[in-house]
Amino acid sequence: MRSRLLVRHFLLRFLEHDLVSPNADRHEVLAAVGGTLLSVSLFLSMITMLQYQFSNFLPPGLTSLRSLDDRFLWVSASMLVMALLAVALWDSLALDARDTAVLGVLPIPRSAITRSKFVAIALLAAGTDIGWNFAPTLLRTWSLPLTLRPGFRGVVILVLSHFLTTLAAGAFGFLSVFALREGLTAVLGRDRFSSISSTLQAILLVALTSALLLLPGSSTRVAQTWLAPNTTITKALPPLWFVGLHETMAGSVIDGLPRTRPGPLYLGNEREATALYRSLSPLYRELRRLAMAALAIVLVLTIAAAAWNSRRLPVPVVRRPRRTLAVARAWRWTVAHVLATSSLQQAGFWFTLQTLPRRVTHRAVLASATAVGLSLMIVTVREGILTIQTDVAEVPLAILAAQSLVLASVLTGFRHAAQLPAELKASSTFSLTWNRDLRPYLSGVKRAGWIAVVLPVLAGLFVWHSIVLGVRVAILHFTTGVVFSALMIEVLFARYRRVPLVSAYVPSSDLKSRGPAYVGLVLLLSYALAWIERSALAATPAYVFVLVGGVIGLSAGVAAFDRAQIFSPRALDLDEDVPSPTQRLNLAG
Amino acid sequence: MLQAQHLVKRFFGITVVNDVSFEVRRGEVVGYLGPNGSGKSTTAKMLTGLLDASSGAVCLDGHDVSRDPVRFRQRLGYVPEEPILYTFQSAVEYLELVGRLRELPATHLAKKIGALLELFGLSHAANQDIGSFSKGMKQRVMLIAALLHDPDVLILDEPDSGLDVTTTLVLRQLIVTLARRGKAILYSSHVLELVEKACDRVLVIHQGKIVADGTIDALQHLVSGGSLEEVFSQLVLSDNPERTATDIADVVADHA
Repeated sequence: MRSRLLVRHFLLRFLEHDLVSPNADRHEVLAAVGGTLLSVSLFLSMITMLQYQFSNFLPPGLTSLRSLDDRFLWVSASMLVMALLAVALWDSLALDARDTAVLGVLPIPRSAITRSKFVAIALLAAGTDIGWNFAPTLLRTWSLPLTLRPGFRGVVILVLSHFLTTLAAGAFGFLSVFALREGLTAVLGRDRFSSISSTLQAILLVALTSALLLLPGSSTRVAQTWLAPNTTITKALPPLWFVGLHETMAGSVIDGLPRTRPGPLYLGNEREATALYRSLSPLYRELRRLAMAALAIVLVLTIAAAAWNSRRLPVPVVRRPRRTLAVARAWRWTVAHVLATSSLQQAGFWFTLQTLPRRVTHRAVLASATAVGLSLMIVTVREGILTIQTDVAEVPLAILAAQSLVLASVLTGFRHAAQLPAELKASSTFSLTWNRDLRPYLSGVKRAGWIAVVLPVLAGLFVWHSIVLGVRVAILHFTTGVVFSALMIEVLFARYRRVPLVSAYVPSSDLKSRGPAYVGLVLLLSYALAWIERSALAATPAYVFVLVGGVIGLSAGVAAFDRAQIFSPRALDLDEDVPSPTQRLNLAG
Repeated sequence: MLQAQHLVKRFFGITVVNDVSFEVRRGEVVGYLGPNGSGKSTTAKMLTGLLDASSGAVCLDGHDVSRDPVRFRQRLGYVPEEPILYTFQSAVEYLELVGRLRELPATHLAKKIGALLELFGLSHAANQDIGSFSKGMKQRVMLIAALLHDPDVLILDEPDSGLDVTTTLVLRQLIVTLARRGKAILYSSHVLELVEKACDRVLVIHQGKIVADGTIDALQHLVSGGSLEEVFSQLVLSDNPERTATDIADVVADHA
């Protein structure tokens, strides 16, 4: 009874505080999240299903090969979605000082508290895993050409195998992140782990989101690419382990169907496909062994590390006083004398630098934007990503456009993050001290954003460009990136009249209409800029001329656009638009 | 100096503050007393401009503050009843933010923050996240934030809540000292002893209305002698506290 109560308490806390904002309506948000999860998986299932319904005479050999692509997609998606859930939960995966404060004083054994916490985590993970994989499992039978009839037993095997392998892959994804977190906490100790925790979470978020975005493009011709002989990555890619597990369980259902004479369209391919599929059988068995071993290892590791970390209920981490290093003093001097000279600029600058890495919502937005940018870059550049370009005039436009695309993505993410309040209740600090002069504060926010968000991206891209394009071109291209990002940040914040990181979030009312247009415009501009840049790169003076001309022209345009608002000013509204009286802060005037 | 003129606040048709008028003069400490839910904090929020009054006005030196709220806030220091801070910042970072938003000179600000943190006994925790602070420590940060710009008017809404004995005594003395230096202070508290010792005048609010306004001597005279606690009991308490306490103990002891 008590355990049940505790499990319920932890589950509700996940839903009400850790995953969903305590101010949000739990039922509404859960319905939206659950609905999104189900509808996305249902939509993908329908797409998968339709390709078979349009190829009703596809013979068993070709179907088996195509089915490998689907298995790879579903297994990877399940693994990534569950890993992302674990990353989203992150700090809530372990008991914290709040639990000690609330539950530690009650006459409940520590073991009962920790056990209930882990049961709650398991229930949440299992529920999400099942929820995500429910629709594709249900529609598994229809992901076959109508002419293939595996019989009742065959259908049951196909459905069950799909369900079990995707669930196992999801469990592996979730447990891997959980094991990593708990393992590092056990090795480093809570104090040291807390200092790297948010960076690690952000890196995982970027990596997993990028992988998820790139997944549809990499789930084709799996047998010929990922599973091809002499491919070193095959055994190192976890989704393939679970694909192997599935094929050993259910591969024979389709492959074992009787071959009738296929139509002329498939005649030659069917024989090759069957041979290729069957030649992979030993590999499937090896991959299955890897899947079972990996699942068992992460499970044991997670339990061991979590049990070790739960020996005592946690107490608040008290960090040692930080010494002000010479570098830190120099940095503060540079900010005060170069980057943000006025008080309000400094307020915006430092507050932005403090908020972006420390607030989980802001980190998540920036990590997602970076992931989108990286995915766009990989998709557009493809195999040219590591091809060294010797002739500047022949550099593929995609390589040059990649920088603008990534920058546009991270800057859009930064603008969105700036719209989210750091801590809405604490915004009264601003309302008590605000002097209505938004410009210097906003300028500080933009400069901090440029340094925190753009500079690391530009530095990373510079390394890549130095390898691919050579140092001279990389430096010139870096300069273009600096100018492009500085202009773009001005464009994104032109006519921005709310207080960044302070005012309540107001969702864009016309995102659906403006969003696609914005994406199209960014793509067009990135390639146009890349084309101009490629033409100018041949000669440095020409390049400088184009750059300087562009900067002067565009900055004049942006400034005029921004200033146009001054002549018809709207009231500076720091107040939130949320009608709920409990959330009103009355920050106006 | 600071005047509340016929302040009224209604929430969903329920009047929480009803026609409240008073003045806090330069160099004066005015105690603002009342039971929970009587309208003290609502009045304080209306005075600071954090909450719009349903009707009435707040004036500083005869000027309606709603006409130039920025100028008013430059002269105002406010400690809210609940210390809501940015928990991901350290005390120094928070105070720097407040100082910068108030456009205090950088070198002066750093010195002032360091000195005030030292004097309020927070220098050891200056670089720790506020999220790990106790309520008293947060309260001290709020006090420093309110004093940082040397305001002319101070509105202190239960500033002693959560403070330890030493800091409470320092606070009491600080209020008296600041008043001597010409600040106008409105001091709301549940610690009647502190109010009795620090305040020149006391306002008692009950169910949204001012039920008493005068010096402590005058109030004591009004209810035929006794301490401020007795005055307060006679003005606002409808139940007998001793009887209520006995009833509570009886319920606690009931094991059936």
